[in-house]
Amino acid sequence: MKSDIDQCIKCSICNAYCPVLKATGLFPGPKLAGPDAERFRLEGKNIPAEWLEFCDYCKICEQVCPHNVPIPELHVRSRLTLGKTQKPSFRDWLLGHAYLLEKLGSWGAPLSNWINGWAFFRWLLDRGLGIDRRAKMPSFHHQTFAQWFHSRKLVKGKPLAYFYGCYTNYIEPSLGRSVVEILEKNGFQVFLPQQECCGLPLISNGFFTLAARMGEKNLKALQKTVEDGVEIVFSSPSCGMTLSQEYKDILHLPGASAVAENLYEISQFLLQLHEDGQLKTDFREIKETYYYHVPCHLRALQVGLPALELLSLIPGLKVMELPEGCCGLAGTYGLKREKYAVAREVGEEIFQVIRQWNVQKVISDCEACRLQIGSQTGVQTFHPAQILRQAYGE
Amino acid sequence: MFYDVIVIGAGLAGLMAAEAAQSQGARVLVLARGMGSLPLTTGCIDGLGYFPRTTNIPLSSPLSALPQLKEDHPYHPYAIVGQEKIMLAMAHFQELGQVIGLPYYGTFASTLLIPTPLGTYHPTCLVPETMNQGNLSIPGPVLLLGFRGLKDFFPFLAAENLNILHSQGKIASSFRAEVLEKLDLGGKAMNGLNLARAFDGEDFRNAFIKIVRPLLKSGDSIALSTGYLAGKLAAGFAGKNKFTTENTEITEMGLKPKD
Repeated sequence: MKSDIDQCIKCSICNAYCPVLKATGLFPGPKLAGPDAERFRLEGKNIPAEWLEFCDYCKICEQVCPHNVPIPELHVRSRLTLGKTQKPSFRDWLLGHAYLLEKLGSWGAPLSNWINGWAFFRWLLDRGLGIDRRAKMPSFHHQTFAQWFHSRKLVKGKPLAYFYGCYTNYIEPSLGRSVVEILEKNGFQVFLPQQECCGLPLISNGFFTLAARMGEKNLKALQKTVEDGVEIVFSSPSCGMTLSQEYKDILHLPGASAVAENLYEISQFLLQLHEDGQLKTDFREIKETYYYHVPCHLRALQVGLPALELLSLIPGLKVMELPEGCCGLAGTYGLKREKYAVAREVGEEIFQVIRQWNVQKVISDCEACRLQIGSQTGVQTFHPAQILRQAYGE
Repeated sequence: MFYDVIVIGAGLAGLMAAEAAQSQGARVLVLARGMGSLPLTTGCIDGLGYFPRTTNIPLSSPLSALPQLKEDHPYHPYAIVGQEKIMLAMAHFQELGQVIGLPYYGTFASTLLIPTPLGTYHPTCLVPETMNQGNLSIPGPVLLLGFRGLKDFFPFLAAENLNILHSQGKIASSFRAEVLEKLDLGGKAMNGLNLARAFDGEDFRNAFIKIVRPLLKSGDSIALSTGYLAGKLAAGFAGKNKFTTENTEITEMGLKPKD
């Protein structure tokens, strides 16, 4: 444990920045649900389940706290205690296993997409399981990113490992392609270490043991990579955060630190390359304006906003920052029927600005943010690597 | 990554330093643990409250005390930067306030007295415009409003203490207090943050006016226990809370029936 609850000075800065507290009275805010509730929990008293369930695990509270109170960690400890008396629902089990659903969806595509778009099916999910029928489901690709990768010829270069994550693999293979092509253009030989779902959906749905099992498998492959002296990049801030922080702080997995030291967010990695004078910058001009949304889990990585700096290297390209805030989806949170409206309210400020400014194209590093912003406002969404890939031309 | 200036700390001083450097073309990095203290501060920019240190009478103008301050304390920051730069910095801060929609009232040349939650005064120089309604040099009766369930403010205590100051001739306003029964904050806990956010909503404001109007006597001003009194609000929300209805003007600190 990093620190104890006495470090909380009750300043309420976490409450002032908590997006869920702002959106709903169902959540009492991180101060009460975190360090305050912990005092009761330590005395063996029960904490209301909804105090824990309405947290969307954006980790903003931990970012803004001036006293290093590990609020998300307290939250997880409380959930662990709760889990002993109250079993999570089948719906939460299913959403925790998002990777299985995605695997199935990809295998069954395009049929699965057709079923997913079928109103009656969504009504069944809504009534039967509590998965909100208004929440947009992503559409699956039959050829996964990994299949595409292994179907092509090996490119020689400096080895670099890529943790692509489930979303890239089953839903957005074009992102993985962009990442690979950018890296190859800069002289790297990309390879894909054996990987499972990072486990974040399991963590946020309260299945810590199952998440730890995923983590152990991933760490085994990634440790080997690190021992071979190869660094690892990831393109999903949420997967990256899980690998570099949750394995160590929440799941307490041995060997997590060594891996974390060799993990880089893709833009962070490329920007570092640029500062070492090694990034190819023969970008073609892109005369367009994009808007950038900062994902909460990118903030949690504490690497600054490398994508913004990287994209500023592209001639003609204008990237404006959207107002700060959480988009609300938070992985599987916004898909749940009792939370859909809260999630939409959390992101409302961002959606309003997008409508007011007549924004057409939004860039964000996180797939959940892209999904939520795209479905709530109808704008086109991109990962920074997709724009960078475009700027490299053919 | 390369920077011209690195600022440590994201409080008001740190952010202003960063802004000043950046507006002159420097590449700036702000390093901070957490979000900085802005949500905790009063939202006021203090000049020089008391001088010399031994006095308990607020200074009427920080500017006029500068020559003496320079003589007594040659290493005081004000003595080092000098009058011209202080005035420039204050003016720049006020310009920024205008830009972000949080206009500030006041000047370094005169002290404003603003009430505190315990019912004394706080000498300061710049306040968000909406907070100037609570200026204690405005004569006349003021109704202090508390909210049932709000743990951080006791309007009767504040009114009593402020009336002592009034009877001593130290402030011009006089006070009485009322506590409003439970207001609906949409299921949220009663605290300064949730209350201030509720005031951003038009329905809540209208409901509030309906409750408060019968309590007003002719000539009353109203001071809410929200806003400035829970300091965190002043910085973030003051600008948003000002609104006018047909015959009532409410600002964060005050509500006045219009004649």
